[in-house]
Amino acid sequence: MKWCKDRSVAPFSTTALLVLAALGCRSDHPAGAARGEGGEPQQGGTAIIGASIDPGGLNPLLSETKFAREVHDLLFLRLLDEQADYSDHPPTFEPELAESHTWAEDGRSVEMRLRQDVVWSDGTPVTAEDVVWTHEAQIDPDVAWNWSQQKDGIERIEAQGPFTVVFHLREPHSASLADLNEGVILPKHVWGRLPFSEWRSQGDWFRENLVVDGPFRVADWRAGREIVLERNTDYYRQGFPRLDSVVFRFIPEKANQLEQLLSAQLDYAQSLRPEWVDRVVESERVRLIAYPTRHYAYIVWNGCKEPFSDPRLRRALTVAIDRESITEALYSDYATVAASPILSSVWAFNRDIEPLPYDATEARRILESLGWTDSDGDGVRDRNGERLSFKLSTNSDNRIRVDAITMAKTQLAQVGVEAELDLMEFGTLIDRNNDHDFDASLSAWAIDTSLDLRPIFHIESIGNGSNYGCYSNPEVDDLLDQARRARDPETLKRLLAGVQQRIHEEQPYTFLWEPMQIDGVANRLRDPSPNALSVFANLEEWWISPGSATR
Amino acid sequence: MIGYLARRAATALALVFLVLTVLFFLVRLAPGRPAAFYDNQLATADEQENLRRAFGLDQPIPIQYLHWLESTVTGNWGVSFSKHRPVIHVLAESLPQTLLLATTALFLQYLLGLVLGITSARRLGSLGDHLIRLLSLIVYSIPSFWLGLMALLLLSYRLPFFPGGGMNSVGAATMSPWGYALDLAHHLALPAGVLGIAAAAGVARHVRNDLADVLQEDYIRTARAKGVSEHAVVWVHGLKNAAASLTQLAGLALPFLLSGALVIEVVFSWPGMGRLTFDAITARDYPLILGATTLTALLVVGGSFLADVLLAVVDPRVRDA
Repeated sequence: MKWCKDRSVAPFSTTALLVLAALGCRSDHPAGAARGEGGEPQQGGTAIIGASIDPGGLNPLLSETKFAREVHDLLFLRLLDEQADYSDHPPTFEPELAESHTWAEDGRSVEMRLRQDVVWSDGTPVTAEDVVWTHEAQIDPDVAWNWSQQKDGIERIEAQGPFTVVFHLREPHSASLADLNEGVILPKHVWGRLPFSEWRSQGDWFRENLVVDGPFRVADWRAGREIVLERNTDYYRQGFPRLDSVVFRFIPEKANQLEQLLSAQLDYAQSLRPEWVDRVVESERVRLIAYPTRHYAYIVWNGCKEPFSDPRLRRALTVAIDRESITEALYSDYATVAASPILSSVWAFNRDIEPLPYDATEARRILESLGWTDSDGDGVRDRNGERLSFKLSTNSDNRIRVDAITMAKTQLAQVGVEAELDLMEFGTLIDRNNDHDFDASLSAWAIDTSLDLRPIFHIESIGNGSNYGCYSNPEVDDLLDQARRARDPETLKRLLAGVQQRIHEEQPYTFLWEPMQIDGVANRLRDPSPNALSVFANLEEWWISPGSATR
Repeated sequence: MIGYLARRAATALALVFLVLTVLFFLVRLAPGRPAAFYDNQLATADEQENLRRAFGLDQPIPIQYLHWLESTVTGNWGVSFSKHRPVIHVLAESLPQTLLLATTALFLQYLLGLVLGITSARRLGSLGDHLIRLLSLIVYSIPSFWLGLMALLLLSYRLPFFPGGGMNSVGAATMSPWGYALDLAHHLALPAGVLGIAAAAGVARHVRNDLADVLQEDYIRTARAKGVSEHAVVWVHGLKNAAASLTQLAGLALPFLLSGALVIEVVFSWPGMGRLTFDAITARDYPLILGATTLTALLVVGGSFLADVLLAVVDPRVRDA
């Protein structure tokens, strides 16, 4: 299970667009459609990609950012390659380091057979010992890997010969395979020389003792400037990667990435803003790629305190906010209105759920029925001397979110609800959410495909988790517990449909939008196929059109 | 003279210590924690505790302060949370870039500031004087990030004269030393130019006013009456007497340039201390924030101390005090 909090969601689209985009990344803008694709793939060349930050380090178990994880996935192999084909069924897994995996009949263990032709870049074969040792590192408290919880379900791992590993599970569930596949496999014969207790202070050591088994190796890394990856000639897939090298240039300002893309200084710029789309489309040298993300944005109501503990009030507040017009204003065609904590592009989304329609009249009716009336004529409803006035928080560095709560404030005022904007720095926002020290807060989640909603909506996650709004419904708790234990997709889908239905009825969140990611690609760069799981999902297959160059 | 310098050095060190102590508690007591910015937001209590322990954040804050003080005075300035390396190594990589940017900007600042200030002071009330004053006021009022963005837009993206950021071209590692230096200069021109021009406006106004005052003095009139050339009046007699305040200004230029560099480095993707500090704050990398600030405080206080020394050299009244 991987859940991430997103702070800069570049969110987006229509359902049709999402489905099309999920089938394979595509350009959604008429003028940007598939320009530059086609032709016989060529070997060689260098692609220059913009990145906002430096990956920080080369040890994947110490990395904290999405970009760092993506870079590490280019250097090291996972056992299996999770596919982004989850719109109709759970994601499938293609062989990577493990050429096959076989479940025991009781579902409590899985045997992985490793490829025998994969070697580290120093020529040492990648073996079952590496897999077992990597697991030890992943769960070691001194290493303090940020995703070690993924391994809680693994009772033990045993190597049966040099190329066979068996994972024994404590309590199998539908996402067990995704969990045990989390994290890349590391070189025991080299990195095993440094005690785990020294890992977090020896970043330079890993750089000096780097051996890889992925498609690329590190040719040069200038902190804060760029990291240059070159083709790993020992990579087991013959003929890949097609590019000689990839340069990630660190450019903190997104606007600069756009300009450098348009002026032929970059080949690929990620997460462009919707208002920049026209400039990309008008350009002769670049095209647009838009595809679903794992994000959704929401307003969480603090049910730990009155009056937000009342689901009827939350429903009134949701229908008082015109989510469709807000989404349209902020994202144009590059987002859809969200309806559920499970994205509409995911197989387990309950398709019977529609976003509650904007209905100011209905909002007023509910508020009246709950006793909230404007008794003193000041334009703000009150009840027993208490005004229906609260703070609506978000992080000030995200212009889209600030615009969204500004629009929501105006719409709420039309039904007699006073929302005071409360802007703060991102870290403060997260602290306050965790401490339940807010009234209503706009934020976003990035979710993975294992669909474990317990950390956000289970009662046990109120004090020890991210149930910011103290949402509590015993029926939902029970469904979530059952869903975590479910072994087959149909059961999981049925249970999660129930969870989504209850959440839809009780509106602990007002779901806002599901964004798409918009990337700009130079026409000379062919075949990039980013997806919600990774921008660089198929980087080893990218190629450069001959006879073209960056500035 | 030595007594004066010793007093100034002691004051400077006490100031650095005071600033850093206050800063330590400010940074540690500010809301937010490192894990809040990690990709995995739903870490379990065990995972969070492991991380806190690995970072030493499980200790009481006064103990953390003592550890930090010890590592700052004797060792590696702590280990960066986000880079997993000694802070001193991380800073050593970024400092040269910032110093290169700041010193180039300082050179431009004084070159331009002196030329414009002197030109203006020599023709007080003329059209040129008004024009220089107006222009320098405008540039002085413009935030440096905006000036930087406009320079990028015009001179890199619209007219492809300069690169849009960074410190070198792709493949610079394989260039000859001369080619590398030229490539570096090409990348340095815009950020240093913007930083230098923004600061030059202040210097120009200062030089103009100081020099204008000095040129009204009796001894200048005497020099002119004795037939000393106008060139010598301005450069030898005038500027020499305006040097004291210019020296003080130079001492204060460093903080201005370093703070300006923070913004300019982000705008121009220049891999220096400013960007490093910005990223460290965003990631709540406490040891790196404190390390970067310690270094900046040392540079600023050191610059100020140096200015005092120079002042004592150029102004006998100070060193005899």
